[in-house]
Amino acid sequence: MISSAIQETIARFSHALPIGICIINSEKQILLWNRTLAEWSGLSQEEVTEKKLDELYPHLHSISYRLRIEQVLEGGPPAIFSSQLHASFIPCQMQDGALRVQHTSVIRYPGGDTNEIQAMIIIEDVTELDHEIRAFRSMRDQALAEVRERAKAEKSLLLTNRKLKLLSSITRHDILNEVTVLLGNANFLEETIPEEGDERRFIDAILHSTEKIQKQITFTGEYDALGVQEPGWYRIEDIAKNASSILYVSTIQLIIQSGSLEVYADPMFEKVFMNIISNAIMHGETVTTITISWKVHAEEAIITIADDGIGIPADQKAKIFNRGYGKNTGLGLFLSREILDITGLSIIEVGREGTAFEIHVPSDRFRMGDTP
Amino acid sequence: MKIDPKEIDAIRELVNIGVGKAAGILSEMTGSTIELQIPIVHLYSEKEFHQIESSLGGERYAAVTLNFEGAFSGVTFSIFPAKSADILIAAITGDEPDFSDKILHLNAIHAETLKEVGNILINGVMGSITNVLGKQLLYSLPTYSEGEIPALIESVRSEHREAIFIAETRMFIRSLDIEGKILLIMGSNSLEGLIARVREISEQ
Repeated sequence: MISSAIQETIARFSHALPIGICIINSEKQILLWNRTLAEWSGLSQEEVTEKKLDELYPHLHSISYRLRIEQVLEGGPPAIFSSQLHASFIPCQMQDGALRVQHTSVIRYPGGDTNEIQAMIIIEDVTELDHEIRAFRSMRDQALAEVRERAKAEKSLLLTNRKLKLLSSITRHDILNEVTVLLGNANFLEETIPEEGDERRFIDAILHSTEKIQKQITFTGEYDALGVQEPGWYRIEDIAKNASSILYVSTIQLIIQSGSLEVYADPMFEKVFMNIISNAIMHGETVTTITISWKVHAEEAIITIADDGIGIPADQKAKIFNRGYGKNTGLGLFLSREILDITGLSIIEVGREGTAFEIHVPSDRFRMGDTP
Repeated sequence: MKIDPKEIDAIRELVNIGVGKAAGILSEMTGSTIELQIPIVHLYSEKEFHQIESSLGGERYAAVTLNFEGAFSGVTFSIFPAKSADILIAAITGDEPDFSDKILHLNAIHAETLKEVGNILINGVMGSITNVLGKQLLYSLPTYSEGEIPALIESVRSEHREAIFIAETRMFIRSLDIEGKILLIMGSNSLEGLIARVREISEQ
């Protein structure tokens, strides 16, 4: 038997703890009711001593409490009562009227009478933790709902995109048919009219405009897949080599920096390189070398496509990416910028001698791939 | 130690009684009928521990641990694979299951809930065993952890790590199938004591 002095010390110690402590005997009579529990429950130690716990709190008669508490009182393992599966073990109202959320452990109490097993009930207040987790879960559920909504919207956007693509393809096909008929008839007409005179000027203008329409319609067809497929990671060295296959002028030398830099871009990324190389061949006049290189910085990677041709006049540099601006269709650089923009890449022209296009790639859009 | 299949069968019966009691408590607590399948019991000696990983797989488990000491000493684990832990929590709390096959998303409240379920299962089984042994044991407070089977076994003190009973069961809640296992790890003296007592009872 533990001396009454030690019992007194244990009781004092329990009163100092910030958790609820209650000791019951095998008859479930309350032997100790610490200060924290008294404060939470509004019942003092004097009021509850020797009263039966399950008479004070009748819900403790239910199987899920009774059997498990009795198992402890028979010398069995501790019983845990979690906050999510149980209303409060000892219902304690807070100032705002809400019940304190509790996590309770019932263990065999080795102190006290050696002829009788007693149980210690330890109650932790987890109200704050519970509220925080519920708030977090509510935020998570909201975020998940938003993601689901977004996925739905993306699916519907993809469907609309496919329909638009189909519509655009049919329209382009129909226009090109009509343009072919128009060009054929205009050519026949051209042969029947004299070399000089207003009729010749009019027919030349008709032929010129019709051919321009044909070229533009054909050109936009090549960009049909813009933004339709998911972006992916592309190795710059491979993209540059593939794009350079259009370089049919043997007098131009192509230098490509080797390395494993990969960029997250639209599947039409290669078109950007083809466009710039094609522009250099067509409009660069004195081009002898095209260099494709890149540099990696902490915040971005910069890919440069430069040539040693005549360059772009300073007053035109800002306009070259505008739709319709340029010597050919006026769409090449405009669409190149759009392709890059899909994954947040940007392009500028910075050449002083010759042309130099810089593609700026943000840090989360590039990586160093595996070296082959 | 040579163990007769009949004795393994008797231990399976003990585990079954314990698991049945646990099912009754869990059903009352959750307001849903919870059925627990009759467990399949395997005994592994220390030399056979390496077979456990191949039979249970290398996945991570949510585990509730209870240490006990006395005439019978060792550790009991109640373990749930990630997917089952997820379904179990969803079934008894009404929360949406994650189905990620990972247990990292379990928050403190979920872990606490699993700890209680594991505690009920373990107490059911330990109750049956101590009834048969007729001895009282000293228990630690149950704890919750996550890990792979070898790491869980390694966490047990070496003198208590000489034999393992693995009881595999399935829990059915509202037609949801939840897989759970109870690992009873003990020293050879404890195993011998348990088998001797089981033998004694069956000879009566």
